[in-house]
Amino acid sequence: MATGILRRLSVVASRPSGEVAPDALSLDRVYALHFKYVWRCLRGLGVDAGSVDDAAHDVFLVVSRRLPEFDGQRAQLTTWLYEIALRVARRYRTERAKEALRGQSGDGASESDAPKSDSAPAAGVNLDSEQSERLALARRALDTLDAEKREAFVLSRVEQLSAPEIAAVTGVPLNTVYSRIRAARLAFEAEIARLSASERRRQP
Amino acid sequence: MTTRPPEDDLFVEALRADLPSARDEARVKARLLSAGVIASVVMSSTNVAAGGAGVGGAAGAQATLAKIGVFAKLGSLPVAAKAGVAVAVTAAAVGTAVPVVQHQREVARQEQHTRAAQQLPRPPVPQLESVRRPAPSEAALAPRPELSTPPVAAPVAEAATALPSQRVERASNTARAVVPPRAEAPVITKPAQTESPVSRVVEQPGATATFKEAAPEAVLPGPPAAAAPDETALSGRATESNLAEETRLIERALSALSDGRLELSRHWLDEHARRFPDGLLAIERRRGLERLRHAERPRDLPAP
Repeated sequence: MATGILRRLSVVASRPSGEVAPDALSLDRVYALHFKYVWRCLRGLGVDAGSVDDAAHDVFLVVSRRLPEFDGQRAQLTTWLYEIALRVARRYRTERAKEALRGQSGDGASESDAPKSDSAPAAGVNLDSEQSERLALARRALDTLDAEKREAFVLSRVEQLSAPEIAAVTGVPLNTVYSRIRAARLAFEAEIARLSASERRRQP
Repeated sequence: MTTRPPEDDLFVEALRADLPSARDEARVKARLLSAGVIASVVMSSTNVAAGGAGVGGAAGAQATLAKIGVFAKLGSLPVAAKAGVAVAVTAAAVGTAVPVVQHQREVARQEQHTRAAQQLPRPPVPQLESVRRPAPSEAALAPRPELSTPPVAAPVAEAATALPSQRVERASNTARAVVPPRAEAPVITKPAQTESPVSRVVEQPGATATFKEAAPEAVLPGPPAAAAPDETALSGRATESNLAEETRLIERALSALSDGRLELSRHWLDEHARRFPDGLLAIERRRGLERLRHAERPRDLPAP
C-alpha cells in the first residue's frame, strides 16, 4: 500500500525495529511531529470546528499523562496516538448527539438549534474554491456514514493506516475491519456521486 | 484489487489536505503551555535561568527538571484542583511578599529620616544628648520586638502566647518592673472613658508630666522637633501604664475569686470592664467572668 506522510513520520518517531527512540518520547517532539495529523484525524472523525481545539487539547493531555507508560515494543507511536484521538472523537460525537437530542426535545427547538456539521476548511488553510467545494462535499458525505464506517474510512483512506493497524486502533477483528473499509468506501463514493449530481443540477 | 474512480481520490485528497494552520497549532500549544503540559523552550530556559540563579550548577538543573515535572503533574490535575493550587500559591506568594515590602518601606523610611537629619543644622551638644537619651521614645520607636527588645513590647508579645494566668502574671511583673509608680496616676484618676486608652492618655496633661519625669533630659532646651515628646513614645508609655493598671485589676479579681470572695472579684472585673472595655486584658476579664459565673452557679441552683 501507499506509504503516506504518517508512515514516514512514524519511521522518524520510532525505530524500524519498533523500538522508540528516547528523544521521540518527549511531549514537545510528539506534539511537533503529530499535532497536524491528530487534528486532521479529529476533524475527519466528526469533531466540529468549534470543538476541535478542545479535542486536540484533550488528546495531548492524555498523551502527556500516559507517555511514560507508552511501550514502543508493543505499538507504534502513531497507532497509539490514533487510538487516543479515536476515543476522544467518540466522546465528542456522543456529546454532540446528546446536545442534538436536547435541542430537539427542548421547547422552541428548531433545526437551526441542532449542531451542524461544518464543512468549512481549517482557518489557516489556503484552498482554492474548487478544493473548498470538494472538501465541503467530502465532509457532507462523511457525515452520512455511520460511526463505524466513518472511522474505518478516515483511518484507511485519509490517514492511510493499514487494516491491521486499524484493527489495533479500533479493537475490532481484522476481517471486520476489511468489510467496514469496503462498505465505507462504497457508501462514500455513492454519497459523493449523489451530492455532485445535486450540485450540478443546482448550478445553471 | 478494485480501481477507485479518480474523482473519489480528489475528494479524499481534499480531506487529507485539510490540515491546521500554524495559528491553530500555536493556539492549542498555548493552551497546553498554560496547563503546564508542554515545557516549551521559553519555559525551559526561564526555569534554567531561575534554577541557575537560585541554586546554581547541577543542582539548578535538577531543580529545573523538578519544576518541569511539577508543571506536568499540575497540568494533569482537574480544573478545580488547579484553581486550588493557584489560590494556595498566590496566598503564599502574597504572604511572603507583604513582610518584605513592609521591611523595604521601613528601611526606606529610616533612610529618609537619616537623610533629613543630616540636612538639618546640628544642635549644640547638650541638646543632642537630650535627644539621644530619652528611653521612652527609643523604646517606642522600635518597630518590632525581634529587632530590639523594648521593655514592654516583648513581654506583651510573650504574654499573648502564654496561658491566661501566666499572661497576667508575666505582664504584671513586667509592668511593675518597668513602669514607675507615678506613671499610673493619670490613668487612675480618669473617669469612665469611651475612647481608646492610647489617645486618652495622650490627651491628659498628666501624661506629659509623667513623660517628663521619666525622661528629665527631654526638658532641656533644644530644637522644638527634637525636644517635643514623640507621639509614639507617649502611646507606648500610655499602653504600658494601661497594661499595668489592667493587670492590677485583673490580678485583684482573680485572687479574690480564688479566695472565694466572689463579690469582690466581680467588683474588680466590673471596674476593669468600665475603665478598659477594649483593653489588652479583655480576654482575661471575660474568662474571669466565666469562672465567676461558674463559681456562683452552685449557690444559685436549688439543692437537689
